Amino acid sequence: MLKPRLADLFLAIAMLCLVAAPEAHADIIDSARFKVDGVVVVWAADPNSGETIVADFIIDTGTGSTAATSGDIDLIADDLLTVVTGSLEPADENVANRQGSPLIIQRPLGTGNFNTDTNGDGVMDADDGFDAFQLRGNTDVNTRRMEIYSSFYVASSVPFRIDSLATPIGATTADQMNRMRAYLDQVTVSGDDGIAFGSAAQLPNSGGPTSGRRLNGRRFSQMLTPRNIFRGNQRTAASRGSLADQSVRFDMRYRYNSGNIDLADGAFEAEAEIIYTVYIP
Amino acid sequence: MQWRVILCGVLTMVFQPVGDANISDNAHFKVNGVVVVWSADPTTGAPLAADFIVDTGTGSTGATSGDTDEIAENVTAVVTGTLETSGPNGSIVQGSPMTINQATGSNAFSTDSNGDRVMDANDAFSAFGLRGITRTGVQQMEVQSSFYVASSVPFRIDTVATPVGATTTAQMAQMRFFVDGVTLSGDDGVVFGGAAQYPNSGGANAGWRNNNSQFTQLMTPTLVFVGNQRTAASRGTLTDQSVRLDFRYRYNTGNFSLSDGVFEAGAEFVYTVYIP
Repeated sequence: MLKPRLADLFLAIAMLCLVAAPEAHADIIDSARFKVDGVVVVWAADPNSGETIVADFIIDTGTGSTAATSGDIDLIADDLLTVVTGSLEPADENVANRQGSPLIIQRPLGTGNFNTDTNGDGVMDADDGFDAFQLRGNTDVNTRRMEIYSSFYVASSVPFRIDSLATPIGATTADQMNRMRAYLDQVTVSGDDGIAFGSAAQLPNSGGPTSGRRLNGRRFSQMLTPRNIFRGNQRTAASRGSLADQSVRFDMRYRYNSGNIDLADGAFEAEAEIIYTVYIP
Repeated sequence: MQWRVILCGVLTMVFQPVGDANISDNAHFKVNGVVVVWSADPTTGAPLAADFIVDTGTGSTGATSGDTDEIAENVTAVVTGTLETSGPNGSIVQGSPMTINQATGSNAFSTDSNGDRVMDANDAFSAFGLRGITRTGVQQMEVQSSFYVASSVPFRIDTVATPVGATTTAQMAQMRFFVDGVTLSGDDGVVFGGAAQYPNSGGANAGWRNNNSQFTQLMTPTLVFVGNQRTAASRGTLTDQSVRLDFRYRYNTGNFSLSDGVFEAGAEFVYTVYIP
């Protein structure tokens, strides 16, 4: 918005100079100027309906090199909530007991290891059930890996960056924030998660699906102030197409510690909100 | 004219629907409290976990706990110190072998010569000499049984006794329930407890309620144990983190002679382990 106004001002000054000139010419000066700002569109799913929804529409109105100083404008006041990777299931905070914590029965006699989350919804609860299992001395019950997978989709006409910020929720302790880590697994260039995406897209970093990541696997305790986690060097829109066609998927992953929690670790809960801010430097 | 331009600019800024380009995610890890109860498969005698209780509620009794048992089957107790199932039939016949006391030339001996707690065709003994004080009776009619628990959280146990068969109310009143305590570790055919602690920090005999109750006092669900810590003390296998809960049932004083005739009395005990 600033650049056109300055141009107009200079034009006005120039016109005043022309007006003040002692000699007049029969000149008519016009200006035909077109400008398309860089745009990044971020989308996921509506937490209420599960329908795809665009909730960030970022225009390149500044030049700052961080999210806080970028000066960009998001034309949509709502913020986006991520989805469970590979689906349009909203991964919002209303899901009381998120993925990542079901216990595994390891080395029972006569059967292989099995997950207590028998219906695969990521939660060990009353909707699961399994048979009695035979014990031997090395039979174990633990969480082999506590991980949460979530994603959002981005279509852009310019290179962009992403900063992230972690905030503890509820009684989550500083120690627990130190045990949790965030990963950007990759950028998935195309697929179908209930809506096909990416057929006219390219990776936002030309180096590949894992290029452009910064300090991957960072502890939440190191993200208590905004940190850059991704730097792109090209737009996602590779050729003409729809918004979904020109979109790629960012795949995030969160891990609790080594993930190997057994009964001696007791029952616990740890939760953090991660805010990603997309901007155009 | 100039102030109108400024006003329009300000209004445009105020009403512009701008927001932060934020994507909000939620990393939420939750490990629910779990109690695993195991004993032995009644058919094979192999160790079998048949209760897997997840803390999905907050009620303060077994009936209202709201917890989930992920396994439809139930655990059947074993004879204490073994992996021998203490099933409905075993519960009735255990504890009743007769003892021969004060026989001539021999010490008191049990008619249960093979030690299976049942006086039957599998037993045999030698003729014994009688004298005036020789007696045949049951010195102590007791049944001892156990089950094993591994937990990541403190738990409680309710129990309810239901008469079996023709057992009368008078007989239910003659029978008593005892808690022998928690055995921290041992080897009953499978080694247990190497990484365990007592489920009540007070020790083996702490946390028990309604010890030495008549069965008639337990005919509605009754609290018998209150724990205050998990059994899993350190990292280990399921059996490493398990302790054994030992119970005992006694018929009256247990001192019966031939004049008491023949009788049979039994009750089913259902223990409900839950996380308050």
